[in-house]
Amino acid sequence: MIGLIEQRMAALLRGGMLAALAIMCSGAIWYLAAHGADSFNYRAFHSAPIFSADGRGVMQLGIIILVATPIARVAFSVTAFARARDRPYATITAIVLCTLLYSLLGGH
Amino acid sequence: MTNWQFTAAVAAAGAGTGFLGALTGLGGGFIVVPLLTLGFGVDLRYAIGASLICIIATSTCSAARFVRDGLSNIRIGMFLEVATSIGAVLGAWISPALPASAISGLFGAVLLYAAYRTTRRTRDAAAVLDGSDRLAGILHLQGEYPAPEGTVEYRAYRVATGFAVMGIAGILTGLLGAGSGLVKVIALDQVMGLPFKVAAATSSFMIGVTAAAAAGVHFGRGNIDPAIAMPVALGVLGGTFLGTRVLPGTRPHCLRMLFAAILAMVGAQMIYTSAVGHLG
Repeated sequence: MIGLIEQRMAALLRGGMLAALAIMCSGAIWYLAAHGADSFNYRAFHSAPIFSADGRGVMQLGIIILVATPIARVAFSVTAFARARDRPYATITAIVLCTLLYSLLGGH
Repeated sequence: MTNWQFTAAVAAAGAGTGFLGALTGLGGGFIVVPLLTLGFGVDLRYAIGASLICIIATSTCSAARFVRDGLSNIRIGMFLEVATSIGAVLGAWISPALPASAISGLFGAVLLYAAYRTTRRTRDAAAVLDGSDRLAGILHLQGEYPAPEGTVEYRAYRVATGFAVMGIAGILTGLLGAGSGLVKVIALDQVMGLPFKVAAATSSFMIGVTAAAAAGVHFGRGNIDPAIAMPVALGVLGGTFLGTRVLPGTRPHCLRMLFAAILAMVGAQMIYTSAVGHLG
């Protein structure tokens, strides 16, 4: 027996994954059409820009959505357990969300 | 090599990584990092950035399936995420003060021991453990999962010890940037006595959160390059999709042997790295 929270969480994960997949694929087609035949060289490190208005930028957007999906899952769990009046798990997931946001925003 | 060739080769390797990850609950960083640095001469920083994306892709794709099928136990996963996420922050804090190569060697030795223990444990049933754990009762850390022979009920044992081991898993992630899936599966399977499929699926569910927390820092430093991360992510999503369909029908014993083989391989790799000072 799968609860309502599990069903909605699975749908959220699936949605985030499919959105990331679709955007990454379109960015990949754009990028490879423009640079597919160029030679590959990443021996040297040049800090990659987060946004650019080309295939790379579209791929990066897909990757950011992929990274945001597990974070959205934790945020969803806090509200879902709170709404179900499951106090221990609302607290537990809130602690996880706070730690996650701390290491994302304040940790560096 | 052209970008087309790199993309095709890395996507194929990513598919294999994702497949193994779905079956064993591991994120695949132990494959992606050496593959990119040794196989394709990619700078280590890009390789670590891409391995985080690999972990998140494996986790999201398998969790989307396993949460719906009842194989991932979200209560056990989220309760233990408290320990792993706080541990990861601590690990990142103390990392400048500790010798990484000594920790890597020690961790390698622990993994070899865990591989031995995993091969010794042949049954899923946790009958050897004693009956009740009060914490498991309070937190509802039990469940049931669909097996080929019917629904199997299970519950968690030694919850406090499992929580502590998860804290160590988190610290190791913060220190070494690796091994979090390995320790999670060991803790869920060996310490808490969950059926192996539930342990693997619950680890898959958890690893994405740990990696997402680290990914923020790596985006900021420019370590996540879309031209390298994209083929990894696309390949991994395809391989994981296949793996999640294979896992339910596979015998737990086969999965456990596969996991033990990976443990031994990664353990040896870590001891080698710590002795030589670098990979390869």
